[in-house]
Amino acid sequence: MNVDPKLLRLLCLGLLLPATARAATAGFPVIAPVASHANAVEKQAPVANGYVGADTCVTCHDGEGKSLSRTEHARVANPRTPMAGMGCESCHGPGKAHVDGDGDVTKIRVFPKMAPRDVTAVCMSCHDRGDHTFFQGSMHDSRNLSCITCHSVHSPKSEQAQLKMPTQMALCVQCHRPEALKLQRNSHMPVREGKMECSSCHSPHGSTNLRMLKVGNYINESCVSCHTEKRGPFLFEHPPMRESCVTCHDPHGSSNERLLVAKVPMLCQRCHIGTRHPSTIYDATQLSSVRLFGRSCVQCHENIHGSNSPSGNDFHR
Amino acid sequence: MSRFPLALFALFALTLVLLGSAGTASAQQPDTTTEKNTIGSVDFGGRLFDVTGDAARDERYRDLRSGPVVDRFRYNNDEKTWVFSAAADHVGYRDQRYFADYRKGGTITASFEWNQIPLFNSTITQTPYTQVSPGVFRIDNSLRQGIQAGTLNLSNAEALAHQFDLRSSRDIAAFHLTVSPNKNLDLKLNVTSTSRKGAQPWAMGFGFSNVVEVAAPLNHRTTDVGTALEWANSQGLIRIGYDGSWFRNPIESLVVDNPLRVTDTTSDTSQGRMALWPSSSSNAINTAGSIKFPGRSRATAYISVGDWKQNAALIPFTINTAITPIPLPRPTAEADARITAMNYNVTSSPINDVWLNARFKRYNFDNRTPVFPVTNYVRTDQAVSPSILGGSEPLGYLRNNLDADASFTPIPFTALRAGYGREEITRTHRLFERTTENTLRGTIDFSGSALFTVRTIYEHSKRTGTGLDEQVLDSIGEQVSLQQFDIADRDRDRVSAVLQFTPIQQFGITGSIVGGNDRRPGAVFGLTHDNNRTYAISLDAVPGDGATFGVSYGFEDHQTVQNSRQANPGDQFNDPTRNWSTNGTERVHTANISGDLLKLAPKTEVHFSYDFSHSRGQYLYVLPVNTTLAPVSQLPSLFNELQHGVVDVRYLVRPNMNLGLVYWYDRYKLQDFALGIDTLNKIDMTTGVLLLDNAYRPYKSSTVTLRMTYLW
Repeated sequence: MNVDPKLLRLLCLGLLLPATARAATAGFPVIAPVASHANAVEKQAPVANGYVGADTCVTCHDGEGKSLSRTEHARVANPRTPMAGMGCESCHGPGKAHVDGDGDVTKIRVFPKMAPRDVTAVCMSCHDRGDHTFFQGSMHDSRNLSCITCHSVHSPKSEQAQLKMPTQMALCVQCHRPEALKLQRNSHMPVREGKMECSSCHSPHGSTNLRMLKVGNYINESCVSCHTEKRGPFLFEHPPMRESCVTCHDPHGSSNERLLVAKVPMLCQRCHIGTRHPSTIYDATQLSSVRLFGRSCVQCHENIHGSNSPSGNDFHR
Repeated sequence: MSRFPLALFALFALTLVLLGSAGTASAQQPDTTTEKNTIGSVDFGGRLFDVTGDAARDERYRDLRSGPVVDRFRYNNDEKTWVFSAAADHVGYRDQRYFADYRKGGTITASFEWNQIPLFNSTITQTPYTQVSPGVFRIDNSLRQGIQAGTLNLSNAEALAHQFDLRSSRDIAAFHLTVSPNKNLDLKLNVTSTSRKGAQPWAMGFGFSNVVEVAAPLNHRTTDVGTALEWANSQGLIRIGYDGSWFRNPIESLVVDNPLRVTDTTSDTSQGRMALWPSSSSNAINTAGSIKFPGRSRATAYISVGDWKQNAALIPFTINTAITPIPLPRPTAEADARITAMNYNVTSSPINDVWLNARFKRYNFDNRTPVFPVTNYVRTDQAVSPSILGGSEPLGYLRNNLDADASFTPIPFTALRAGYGREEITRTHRLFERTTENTLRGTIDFSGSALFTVRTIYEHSKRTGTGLDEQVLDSIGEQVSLQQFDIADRDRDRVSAVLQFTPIQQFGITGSIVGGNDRRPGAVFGLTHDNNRTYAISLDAVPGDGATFGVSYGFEDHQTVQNSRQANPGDQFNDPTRNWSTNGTERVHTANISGDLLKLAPKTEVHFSYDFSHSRGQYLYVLPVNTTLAPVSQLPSLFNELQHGVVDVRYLVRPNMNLGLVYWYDRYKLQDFALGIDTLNKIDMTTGVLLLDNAYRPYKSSTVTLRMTYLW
């Protein structure tokens, strides 16, 4: 029986996933549909100015041509793709000298051998919209990462975004290990359940926010884009909440309830040192009190994020 | 636990046979698959889920109920000028997701997603309250009368309690459209509607040590609309956009009966009323521009002007009918914040090997909410109390950030960077009116070798505040030498190093070290030290054809010191012998082992993984030698452990069909004085505490899924 090589590839994509990737996809196989339509690298007539055309390229680089044909880059109908322009040479540059030089690799752009920011400059000649606008000068750019640090044009392994790893989690963890470790804590966002991913909050290409947060212009704007109920403004504001959500919460994970950076009441006692109950030592003799259990201080100061009650200055109401 | 029906296995087997027959038939036809432009895959089968212990915690963000499953569906129709794809996950379950996407080469991109995220709190929660209307919780009057008369106590409420599942769900519907009339222009529209429904634990206090928990209803919706017009060519970009967001919550207050009383007095209340999340809106317009300059330079600018409004009707000061009503200074909140944000960035590489970058960022949260004057308020609906601050304090702040970095590449792929950052924050209604933080940083990034990659960064920051208003602390009864840790003077050092070493293609090792050290030299009270260390190592190997293995281990160590003084008003307040400290410690071990055996047996593949996380913590109270406080009885240590194991076996029935058996093992153990059932059982609920019994409990579960993957 003859087997469609594309189907085989689909199976392989599903079966070859590393276990870390499978964990992120809740243990079920990722069988990524790729373009089955033969967007073959179309023949183009050689043009002037040192270009040779894609049909010449694939005479030697048949594998790269085939792999590219399964990606958006090969979609000729889209005038913004490389194939709608100069073909392979849209990215790799004019190939005539390379061909005439019998495949001399110094006569053409070989991206892994290029300086990261030179790679970025080529990619950004097209990918310059949306979040990409802010890539130059971003944290990733400043650390000398280029587009091909994370993306693969010819051999992507992910279902979306042509990543070099099967999932975002598997990709980002390579550098951001501490954050990935926190996701394994008992209090976490639903990332390891597959309902969120790194890019749910972060834009790796750059942003107008801090910490490459995708939405808004400040940390809190990112948080309240989902937790809108805490946006306010409120009649009575709890200052650390208005200043920054991450004063009290660690969004990547925590051993404390509700992603808190410390247990309550200890967390509240970092700021509230007055008289009577706020500065009381809550030791093991207090375990029969409600002040150590569950939400602790927040049991009474329930509207801790801000209150709209006229009697809400202590956040009781 | 629900039983997996035998009929399901029968149906599954029948389907397998039928598909197998069809496969045999189709295998005899000429191969035309290379002509196809439609492909798809579906994973379906049946699942058996068995859990002992805290099922809600195990299924916190997922739905693992036993039954037939269509766990994953993918469809892709790829024509020459357009592509349509569709996806579905966990069909019919509480964590289901559906997605569709249409792209027409360079002119239209449209997608729609509907995603459900469950949040399961508890299966053992119970309450004697009945919700008579949204947000209004009543308890049996005869119980209250008995307690008020002294003939009953709260333990009698147990007989009235009914058990229920405490859960909520976030449903997100998102639509995205991009229209590109020509090569340079994009029109973008994003509409997202998010609803949250269900209930969450919420408490109403009736004075000290008198707390009632109820399952507060959630039924709110957020609608976000974003539009943008973007024009770009090879030299630059310009964009204008609008973002609007509307949060609507029809349940803006919560009313709960006081279980201890049935009548109101001027010092006790029969019920409490609390404001819940008010409806609000956000509107912003923004513009961005980017332009290339000679010398591999680019300048980018972004400006956003927005407005957050919240004008919900205010509830009265109290629901207590015995207290003379206090007139509201105004009927609605009239909360309003103008937000102006701007970013300016210039980056340049005028000569090879040199890269320069400068960025200025400004964020102004201008809170224009009028002060809400309060002379007297009603504390927990029970007692008229004078307001210490005389009303609300609308917090606002202005943040200015400047960052400048220079990078030098002395040898290829090795970037040495030095940078300086300065952040100035001016605030209203906070302890420090102004803080300034200066940061110096250096990085070394080497990434050009197939053998290894090195990324390191070191940062030193110093934050200082001016305009410290100790009078504010004094007026609210706080120690004046307290400096709230989030704005206190602070020295911070951070270092991070990542090394990736790949000596041969079949073996790689990655190590990372991250450390942070925060010190607050001027703080006598509050958080003074916060140190953390993380060490991680991972190994990946491909020992042979069809076999891969990975092992990783991480260790985190987090230590904090915070100081306080236990005091009643008067002399104790200034008595240093009443000082105490808390030394917080947490150490976490995280490990993962995984492997793929693709050629263990003919047509058979085995995948496995095991994740382990073990956290142990302690809050240790420390008293000075000359203490006059009573000896402390230390809190028990904290501990939690998570395990998740997967074994996934697949048999290739046909090239486009496999049969699989997946086994998941999950286990959670904990010892936690704040969350565990042990503490809950110790709480005296006869006096004034009525909780939902929402505690963390251990669990152990097994999930078996028999499934088929079919591709076409």
